[in-house]
Amino acid sequence: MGLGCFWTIACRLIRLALVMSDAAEANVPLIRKSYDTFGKATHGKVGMWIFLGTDALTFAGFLMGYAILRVRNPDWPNPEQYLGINLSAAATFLLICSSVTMVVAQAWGEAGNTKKMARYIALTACGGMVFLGIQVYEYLHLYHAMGMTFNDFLHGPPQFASSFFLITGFHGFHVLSGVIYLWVIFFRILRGHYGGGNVNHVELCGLFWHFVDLVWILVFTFIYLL
Amino acid sequence: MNMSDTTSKTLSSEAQTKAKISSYLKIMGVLTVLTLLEVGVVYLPLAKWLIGVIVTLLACVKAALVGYYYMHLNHETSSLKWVALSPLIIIIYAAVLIVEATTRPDSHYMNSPPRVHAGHSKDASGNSKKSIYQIWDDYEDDTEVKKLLHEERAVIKSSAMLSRPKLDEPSKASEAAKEVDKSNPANVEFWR
Repeated sequence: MGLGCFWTIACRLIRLALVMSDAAEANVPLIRKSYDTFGKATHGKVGMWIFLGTDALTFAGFLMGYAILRVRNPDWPNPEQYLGINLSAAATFLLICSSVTMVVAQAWGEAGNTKKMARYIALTACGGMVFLGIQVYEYLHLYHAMGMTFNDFLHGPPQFASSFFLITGFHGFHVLSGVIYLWVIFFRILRGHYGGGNVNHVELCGLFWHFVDLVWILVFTFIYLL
Repeated sequence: MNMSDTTSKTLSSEAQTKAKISSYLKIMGVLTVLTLLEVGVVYLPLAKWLIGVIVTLLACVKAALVGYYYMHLNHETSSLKWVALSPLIIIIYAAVLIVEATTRPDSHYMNSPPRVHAGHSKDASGNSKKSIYQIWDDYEDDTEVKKLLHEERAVIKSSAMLSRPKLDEPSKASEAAKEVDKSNPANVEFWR
């Protein structure tokens, strides 16, 4: 029941945002479009880019905090000694694959093929869910085998564990919201909202999803590899 | 609520779509190769800073590829490209912090000894330098203190590892640790 409530609220919120962006699109006479600053980009898209910019700044703040903690701590462990690089590389590859299925879905949507679009959106969402599963497995492993908790680390400075969980966890919540977003879009495709090449909303969802992928590429490099 | 239908769109043909998809797959190939390179570079016997530089550059190239082709920035106007690049102003802040951290006279970063990873590195005078955590790990192999350590670990685990092991409190294990320490002059820097 709790999950159902959450689902309903998520659906309502996303629909509200979509209706608002549609209203903005419909009111074109009120807004002078002749400036052509953003070309054919819809208002929703410009808004999504601004949001992604602010979100990127949040991640940048976390990563800089991580860098400063690390550079100031002579006992900082070598990450590859404790974190599984190969598994995370596989997870990175998985996210890249799900980004590909997302653009493919959009390409089919632009051709008016809603069936294939829905199929690829579902694939993308499944990729995100598998990524979350890998992350849960990794967290449990790090807790039991490496003694890492949110505020403690048995073999080194506790900041190593807490910054790891903070940054990857924040990214994990992005993946979770992206998966919910994708399923909402999926069911809206099934209801016939995005026929005839009208894929603006799908594109917005895709922007968010690619952003999650892009951030993971950077997080993977800075947390696991450096 | 299909108000956005008012913006008329021309459907792209099947051939166009397939051409798009094949270009996306090519970029995916590049991204995969770059990921493999990144992971491979880490295992190469290169200087730590060089690995860092290479890996960071590769990551930036990958992020740019995703942004430019998958997020369709190649189809957007230059204004929107600038909006997308706006978070990069953080570089200014990062530069200020890096310059500050490395030039401050009493900086911990400037005075800190070389980092110790797995294995026992030696300093100029030939003494092995161990971090406090390495010493902690080493005592696990010592049969004398093994039992005491396991007792202490059990206590830590029973408190769900909520607090880190209090090394600076005179517990049984650390008392034993100190005695071992005295016999080994290499570990003078134990409490650094």
